[in-house]
Amino acid sequence: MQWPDLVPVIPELILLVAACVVLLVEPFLKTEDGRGDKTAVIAIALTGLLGALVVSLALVGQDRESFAGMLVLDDWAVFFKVLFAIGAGLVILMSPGYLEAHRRHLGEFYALVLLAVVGMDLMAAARDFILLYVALELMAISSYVLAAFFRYRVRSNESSLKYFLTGSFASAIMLYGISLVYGLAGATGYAAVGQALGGRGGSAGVLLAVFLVAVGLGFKVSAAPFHMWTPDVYQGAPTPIAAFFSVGPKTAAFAAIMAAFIVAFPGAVQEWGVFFIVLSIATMLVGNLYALVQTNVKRMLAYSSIAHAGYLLTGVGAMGWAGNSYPGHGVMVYLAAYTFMNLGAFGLLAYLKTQMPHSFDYSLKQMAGLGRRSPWAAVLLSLFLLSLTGIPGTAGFIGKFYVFSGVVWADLWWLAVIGVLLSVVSAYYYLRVIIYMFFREPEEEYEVREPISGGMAASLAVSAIATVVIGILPSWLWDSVASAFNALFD
Amino acid sequence: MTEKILFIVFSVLAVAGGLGTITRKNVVHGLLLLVFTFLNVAAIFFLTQAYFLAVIQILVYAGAIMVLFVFVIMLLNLRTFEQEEQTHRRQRWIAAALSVLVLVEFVVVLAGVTFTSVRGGLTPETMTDLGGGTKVFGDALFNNMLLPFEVASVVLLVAMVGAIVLVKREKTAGGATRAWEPGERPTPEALEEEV
Amino acid sequence: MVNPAIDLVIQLGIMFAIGAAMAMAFISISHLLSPRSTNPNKSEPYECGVVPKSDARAPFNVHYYLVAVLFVLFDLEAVFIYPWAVSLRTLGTPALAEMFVFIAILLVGYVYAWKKGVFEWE
Repeated sequence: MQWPDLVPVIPELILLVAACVVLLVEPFLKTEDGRGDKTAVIAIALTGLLGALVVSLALVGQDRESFAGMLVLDDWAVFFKVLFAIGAGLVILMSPGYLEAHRRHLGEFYALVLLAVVGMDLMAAARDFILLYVALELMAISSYVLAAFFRYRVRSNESSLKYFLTGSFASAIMLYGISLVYGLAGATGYAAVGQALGGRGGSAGVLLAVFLVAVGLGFKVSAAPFHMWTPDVYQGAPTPIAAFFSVGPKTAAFAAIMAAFIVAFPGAVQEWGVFFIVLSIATMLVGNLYALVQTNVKRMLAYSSIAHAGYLLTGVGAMGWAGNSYPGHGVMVYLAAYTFMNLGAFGLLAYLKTQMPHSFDYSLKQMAGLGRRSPWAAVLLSLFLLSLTGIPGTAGFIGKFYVFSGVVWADLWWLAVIGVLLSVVSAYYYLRVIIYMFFREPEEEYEVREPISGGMAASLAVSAIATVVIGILPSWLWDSVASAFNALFD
Repeated sequence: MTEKILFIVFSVLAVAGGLGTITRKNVVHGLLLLVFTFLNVAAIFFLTQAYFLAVIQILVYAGAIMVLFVFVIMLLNLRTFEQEEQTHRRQRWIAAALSVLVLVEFVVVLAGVTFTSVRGGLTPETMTDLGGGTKVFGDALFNNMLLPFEVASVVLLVAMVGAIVLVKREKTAGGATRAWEPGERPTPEALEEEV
Repeated sequence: MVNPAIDLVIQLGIMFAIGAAMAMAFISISHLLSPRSTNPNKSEPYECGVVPKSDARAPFNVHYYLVAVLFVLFDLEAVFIYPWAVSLRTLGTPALAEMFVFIAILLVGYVYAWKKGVFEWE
């Protein structure tokens, strides 16, 4: 037998080694009060992510496959690897102060984030259902542990338990679908499945298999009606981890859907296109309408992340409806834009919680007067919320513009109209937070505990800069998305 | 013929065990019925000459995994599963109806499907020529399935770290050398705070 | 072609049946043949010592659970070694390296658990 080509997995190997080093170093970190100085593990974790990022960028333009065709290295995989590395880096930068404030600052946190990123990378690079499933489990199990990280907190436990039960149920459904795919096609590689099933069109057996796989991945992107875990999980998880959940696993699942469905189920494109279109309408409705009535900002952002999954799904549905990968370009641009603006919004909540670890409860009421207490924090949060609304000049507008123009390109103009109308509805709940911050008097005075840490400042600054830059100069992003799609589909 | 009869016997017993598992109120009885189900599934694997899989089914599922289940029951000191009769009664019937509907749908759809023969046209007979099921499994696992296999070890690592992070207890005062976070446990009022 | 597993299944079934029948026979025979006398002392668990006060199903220390989880994980690792051992000769050196990588990753977890003091009883 041959030695496998390891070049396509160098970024993941770097992350894995970094995570192992963190785990081996962590037990030896001791200070006199028994708490340990975690600077070393944070440095190792960030070095690992930076290494993975640099190597990924160095591998742009490659086109090779490895491990018997299970995994590829092309611009598509590199795009997501870069996105995940940056996202995880921002999450790690915002975490130390927050964890310290909750008296639960352990090195394992960083190791688990790195291992989840390994799973997400492999999901995006996988070209085989078995690898997709194992990678998804790696990401999911790390996530369950991270959700329960504050093990003495009732909400953290609730969050993890709900995530674990619904997540493993969804995994089982997806696995059942994959087993049917294998039974029907006699293969598990996307391309081989596509060849075997292409001629069978939308027969009932194929549709059932496609449906089960789509439901399993639909859970991960929190598409309605498989969204009910999302608000409780995001609300109860540590805030940096909620930020991570809202961008990481969701992006990875979208990458997997786009890479797998067009290639593996070409005979049933119309059917899964319609399925995702129906899901997208339900998801946009549920996310936006429930977000309207939330008074807890963290929970509101959870519903808003459901709504954004809905906008993204319109693009995926249009891919299937048109039988063409072109509408997917917009989805990828949106995923990049969404990563930064959503991490920024959640990161700011993490910052506020770090400042007031016991008194801050994320309620809208407590946002009142933030514009006067810490003006720059209020301005940054406003920027992220405006971007989530889709105001021109921000990343959110660019994302929505490209997704909806792709949807219109697929002759689904009515779907784009629904999306735009619901974006207008979303302005209500995003702008309400801004109004509270700048125009409402606080009901009580809040004691601010400590100044912002360097990591948190860096994380928020990068998110804000990226949100603005993508909003003003989107062409480089569009170019890299186009080359990713060329790599995947030509 | 014998094959068919044996298959029907084992599968009926497996399904019956599964139904018993979810209907018993005494959790230990449910657990034993689950072991019974696993044993019957192992017998079905055995019947298809997947001896390795059959042994794994017994060793890992009926053995190791069930040990964990017993531990959880002992930890929580569960005796009988007390269902809140009033709140879930209607939901239970809707759920049962939906389950039956899904079952019927699957049976109808899958009855009309012709399954392709597996990768490389492997049958029990050709497998014997290739050195037996365990060898075929090993060859596939360490060749084509290499990457999922290595990722599986990372999944096991995550499970290990996760169990330790969530379960390992903090040292009390005195043995401060490998203490977890002192003061991590919140006050009763802080327990239900937003995190 | 006749499925060779059927013979094995039948043989195993006969073995299990005989085993179960023997166990039941011993219990019922001793139950039927033994002389019986009732006495309240005889229904106590021990003839001497302390009368048990509480239930046998007492809540466990959670540490047992941690050990059980680690047992299951290393059990799974051992399971993967079986097919590897069978295939190693045909697969050659790469397979040897693959298994070393697999074990090395789990070894990281082992060392981590050790240094965290999981194997020390509190």
